[in-house]
Amino acid sequence: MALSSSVKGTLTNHKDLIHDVSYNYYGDRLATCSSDQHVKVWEKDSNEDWVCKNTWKAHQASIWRVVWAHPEFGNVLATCSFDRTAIVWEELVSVSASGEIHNQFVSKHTFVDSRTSVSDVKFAPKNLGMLLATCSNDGIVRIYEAPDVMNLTQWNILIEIGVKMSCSSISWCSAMRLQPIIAVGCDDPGSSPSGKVILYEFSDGMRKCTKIDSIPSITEPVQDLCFAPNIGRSVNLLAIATKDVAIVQLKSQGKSQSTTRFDQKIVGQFTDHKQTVWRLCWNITGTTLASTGDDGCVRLWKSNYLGTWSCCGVLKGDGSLIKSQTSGEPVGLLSAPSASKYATS
Amino acid sequence: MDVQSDTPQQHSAMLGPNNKLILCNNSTEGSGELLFKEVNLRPEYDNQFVRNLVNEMSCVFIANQRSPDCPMTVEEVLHYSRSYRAVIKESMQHVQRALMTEDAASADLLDDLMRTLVVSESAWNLMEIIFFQEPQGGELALQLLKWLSIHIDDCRVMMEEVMKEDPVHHHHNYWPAVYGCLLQGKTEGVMELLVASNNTSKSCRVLMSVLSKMPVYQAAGMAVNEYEGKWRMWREELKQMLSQGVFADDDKMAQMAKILSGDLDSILSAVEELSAPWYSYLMAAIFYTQPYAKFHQVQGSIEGAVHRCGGIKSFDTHDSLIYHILRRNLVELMKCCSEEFSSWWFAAHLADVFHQANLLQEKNSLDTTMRDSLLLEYGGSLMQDHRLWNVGIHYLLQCPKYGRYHLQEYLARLPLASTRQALKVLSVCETHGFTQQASSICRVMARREMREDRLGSALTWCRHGKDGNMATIVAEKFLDQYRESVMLPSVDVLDALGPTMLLMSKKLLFLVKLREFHQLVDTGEEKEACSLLVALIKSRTAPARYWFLLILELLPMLESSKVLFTPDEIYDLMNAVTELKQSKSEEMMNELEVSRIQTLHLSLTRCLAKVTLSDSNALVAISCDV
Repeated sequence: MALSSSVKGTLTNHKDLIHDVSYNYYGDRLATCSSDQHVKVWEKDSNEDWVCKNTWKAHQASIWRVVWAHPEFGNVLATCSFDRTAIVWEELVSVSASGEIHNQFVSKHTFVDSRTSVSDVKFAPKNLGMLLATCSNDGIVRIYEAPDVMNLTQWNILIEIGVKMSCSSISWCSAMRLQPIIAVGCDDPGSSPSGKVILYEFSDGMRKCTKIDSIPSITEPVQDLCFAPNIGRSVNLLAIATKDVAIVQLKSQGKSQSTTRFDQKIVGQFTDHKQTVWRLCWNITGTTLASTGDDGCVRLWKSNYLGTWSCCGVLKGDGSLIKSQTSGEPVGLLSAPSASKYATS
Repeated sequence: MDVQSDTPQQHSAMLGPNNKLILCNNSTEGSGELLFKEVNLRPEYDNQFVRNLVNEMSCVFIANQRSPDCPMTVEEVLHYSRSYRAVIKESMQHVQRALMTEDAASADLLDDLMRTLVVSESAWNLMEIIFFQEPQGGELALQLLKWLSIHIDDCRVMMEEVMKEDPVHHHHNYWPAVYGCLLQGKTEGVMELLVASNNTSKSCRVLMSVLSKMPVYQAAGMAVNEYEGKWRMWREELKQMLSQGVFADDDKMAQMAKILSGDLDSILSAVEELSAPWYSYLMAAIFYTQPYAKFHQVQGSIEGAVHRCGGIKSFDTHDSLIYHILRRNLVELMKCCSEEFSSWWFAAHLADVFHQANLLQEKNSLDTTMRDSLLLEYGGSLMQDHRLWNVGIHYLLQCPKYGRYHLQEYLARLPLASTRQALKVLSVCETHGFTQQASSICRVMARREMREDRLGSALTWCRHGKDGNMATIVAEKFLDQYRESVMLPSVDVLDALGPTMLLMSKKLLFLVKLREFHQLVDTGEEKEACSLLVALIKSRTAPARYWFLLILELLPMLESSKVLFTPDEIYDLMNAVTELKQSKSEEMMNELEVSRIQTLHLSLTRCLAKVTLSDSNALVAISCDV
């Protein structure tokens, strides 16, 4: 019944910092990207060890992000880089005469519109079709569409948004009931009275874009942000990484003048990392958030059944579990809630 | 605890669909190599005993779900709760048996599991007594002692050992056995041990007579008041003897008499000597100070016992678990369960028993959201295991608010390793009406089959998912191959397509008609074949880029000596060829194409001549007849 705490390390053979790691939809493949300008794709072998199956030089500079598209579109990756481009890659399979199956990731399209480093790239929820959003340090968010999902060499630019601040991250909101919404995080060091997270709503088949809101309480530079998967919830949760981890609840107030209005509420703000927080990631049901920071730790956040968020686990960089900062008690992993989980407030 | 890394580096981590966490920390760990690590954040179900337990528990769970309108009666709840306990006990037996045969490596694992099972069974049993049986005055103390003796049975073991020695009181465990029996209220055991020791001292004889006179509560035929009266008289007598120094000549007898009279210090020191748990003290204290008490009357004793045994802060989780059960504190109890048992199975099942017993609503401090959230976590952890996801479904379905949403997400993420697996997941999706997930699975599978060039099965998946758009894409691939080789692959699949599919995709309709044409040619029905193909071109069901190929297919029939076309049909074909020619400018066509078009024109003209001739012959024949 006990949790396995064995932590397997996998040598990556990346020659420089690894900036992003990404599971595919099913969790049976991984993609990593690095400052060594390479992308690697990993699969499990029969011993449940990760083995590198594909590695290729993907860009001319550091690669910041790698993401998988929904499998309905095939095995498709997107990367973005300091070399001012984003690229869509598709896995092609060929069967040799001897019956061996060979696979290869082929560049299908290179997006060259940005004049500066492309800091983030995200596929839209699949119900919107094959859509890709990028953002760059010159403060421009671009949305592209592949009109023919079978032909990923052709992309049209649907919309360009000038955010006017250096952008670090973007996230699509997955709520089906709403018009498509995207949140943009800015890592601009300057001050901005309306905050560093801006929400845009699309309408008219993605041809129109309206700024609907910003989150004024977030004034520090934003390194990453991420909407929680909306699994049957009536509210949306947006996690934001600055030097803190913040969880903002966005409750749709219905429409006014054809745009969605949100009621904002910060439901969690945590300073535990004490240093810059770089990356955020939700689990698939949007019930657990993982954050990584310069303190070398991964922290796991979970809400109890009353909606109170707290830290439920801290992992050191080597994967070992360390004690919780607050209670001094051993912290249960996700499956074993911490002492505070069921405390009534 | 504050962790500082020497050189701040960007890290990343990702939570996977299987609740695993990948982390890259970019610290080079001496070797200079960059690593990533995968940490498993969900309980492992790798042990077959655990999986058996999970399966058995789920059967009990499924069989005992009630709609909220008709809650369970007390008997039903007890039966429900006992069924779970029976499963745990059975599992204990299996593990016990395995422990006797297993090698040392897995013995540690099994030992751990056994401990967990023992603790959970004992806690569950106590909960049953306190929450569902609700014993009356007189019964409560007996029930508690009975529970204690079932789960801490070292005094029975010791007694058996001691009785084998001769003389018994020379055995080093003689006195621990006596005190053990005494603390669990087993007066017969104490008597037996005393008799066996041949102790002829006066104090021993007196103590034995005191023991034999001790009133025993019997549920049938004795009112609690009557019992309480008798017991008080008996204790008064004993206290008098103590004050008169009757037991002064024998320390052991004196301490036993003090315990019998309910002297808490003596009980505590006996408990400490035996290093028994705190609740052992509590239950002895209740039995010897207020054996007639009802549940609410012993609450003070519980707090007193906690205080005397070092306070709640000194308790481990198991001790606290027992404490919260005895205090009937559901919130703290659930919290403890989740901590003590490092996965959700215990808390989830327990919460459901409480829910079915209507205790969660009654308490007001909790409501069903807590039960639901536990079921979601537990069910979710099962859904992420490739062997147990079938079991997980039942738990998620019992959570009215989020269960179905979570289930959809977990189902969609199940790896489709094989066609069989995909069909299995698909049928579950269809059973529960998750149409979106079902069609997504079909689409993913169709994609995969197409990528590996198995067009027939790709089309079968489109049919499963009733996916017209995808069918069009697959049909195009079919036609691509047709264009290359003038042969259609996987024709059996085409023959088996139903009419609904054909309505959804025009391309597919064309493909099937093309197949029909080939069949007609094969069976020698050439005239019908020709009309079919001409109709396809005329109605533009066949896309223009295939016309050329199609007319080439007709070439042998055009040149045939038989009359297979009507003049109208030939005019239609001529129109098509002209249209083709106009759509491409001369310079875009290569020589081969130009010559082919010329050939086509030629043979169409020849055929028209032939047809007209035979028509006029027929006319002549008719006119001759007339």
